Amino acid sequence: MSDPKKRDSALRLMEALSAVDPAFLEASENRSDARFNKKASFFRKPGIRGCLAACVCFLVCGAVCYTCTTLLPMSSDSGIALRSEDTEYELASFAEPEEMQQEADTASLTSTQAGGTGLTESARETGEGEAEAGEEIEEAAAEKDLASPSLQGQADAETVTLQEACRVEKLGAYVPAVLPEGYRYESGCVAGEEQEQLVVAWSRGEEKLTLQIRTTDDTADAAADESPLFSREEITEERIALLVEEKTPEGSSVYEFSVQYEDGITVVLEGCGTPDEIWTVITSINP
Amino acid sequence: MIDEEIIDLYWKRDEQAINESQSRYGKYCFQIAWNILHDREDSDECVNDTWMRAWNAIPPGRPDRLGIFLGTITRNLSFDRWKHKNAMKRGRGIMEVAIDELIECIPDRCSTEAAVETAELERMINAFLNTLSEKERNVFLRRYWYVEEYSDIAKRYHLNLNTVKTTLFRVRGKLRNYLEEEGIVL
Repeated sequence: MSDPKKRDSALRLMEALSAVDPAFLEASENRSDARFNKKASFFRKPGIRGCLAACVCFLVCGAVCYTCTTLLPMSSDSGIALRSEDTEYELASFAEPEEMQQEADTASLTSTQAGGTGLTESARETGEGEAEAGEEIEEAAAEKDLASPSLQGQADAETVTLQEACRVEKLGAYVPAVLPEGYRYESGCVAGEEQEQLVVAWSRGEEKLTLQIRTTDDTADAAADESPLFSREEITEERIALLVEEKTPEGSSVYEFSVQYEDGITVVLEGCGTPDEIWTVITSINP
Repeated sequence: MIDEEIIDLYWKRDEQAINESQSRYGKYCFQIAWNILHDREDSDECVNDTWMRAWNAIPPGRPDRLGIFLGTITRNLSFDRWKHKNAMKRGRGIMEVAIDELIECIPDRCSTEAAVETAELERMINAFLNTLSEKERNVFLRRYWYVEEYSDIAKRYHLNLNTVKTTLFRVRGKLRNYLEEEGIVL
């Protein structure tokens, strides 16, 4: 307060207010007068809050239903993660048994793709927390013979889900984190007394993509391979383009080649896709 | 006990009138004193003095609204006490802020010529309050008669805090214009 004269005048005004009409003061005492605030008075009307709550519940339920009916197939078809892993598994538990395996596996893969990190690490971490859903998936998968043809006939071959494949000691780390758009997990199995060989397969309509992951010591199978073998440093996108075996009716190229890693693991890739897609698969393998 | 019965006790010179006043309007008067003084002891003294003033004023007076009547006495007493306490040293608090705000309503002396008596000023203020909407008037009185905090006013009328501030700003501007138009010199 800088001006003393004005301050004195303000004090006079304050004093003069003592003579205000008592009716005004009495009116101002009305504490519950909500007429000044139309919004507040509206929401305080009986029943309004209940109706609003019901509307909110209706909208939430509608949104959940919409998500279930639309995003689930979208995610599966496009390979893009649209839901959290938890939600995916919750939904998978309600799916038909035949669909459970693929749905759950796709969820794990696509969610990892969105994260841009290795599938194997992510799957290991999340797989433990999803034991219950995993058990149901295993039961469903057990009803189907999903063993890869390359391992059929082997007495010790064991069917695995994608999560289990990722958890296979030493070999699981070579399961790619990213797959070409539209590919869905189809089957997987592990063979050998010490799990020396792991096969995982995906499909996209009529197109297949299979990876055989094995230790280099597994010479019997390695000798049978006639596909080109490269070290990881040798394989490039340009070289992949030169490895085209044939073209599919859909226009994709068919590949078959092997990549050998420094720690003695060989990955045999056989399947369809564009050079760019196959290169993406290779680069997503980060053991 | 209703107001009429309390006033009757005053008229009968029954000291129970003070007890009943204390019981019915004690908190109300204390709040008014507290808003101005912000001191418990001073506020209690002002409230006690209020009963004595009322005892001396009734009879012959017979207020229509006993609560407002007692509250006005408390306000005047508190205001006098506040002025006395701040004669040498200005304090801090809402009273100081409220007076600062009212300075905006004071026209510049050079723009007016006539001086007005306090009674005329009171009449003018009542006339001005009549020009306001009910919302503006109530908010203004809660701030400058009851010396309430913005937040308390907002809570009382279910208003946004900024709405209260904006309303008061506009009303102060209106009061300033009104006093200038009426040629009021303070």
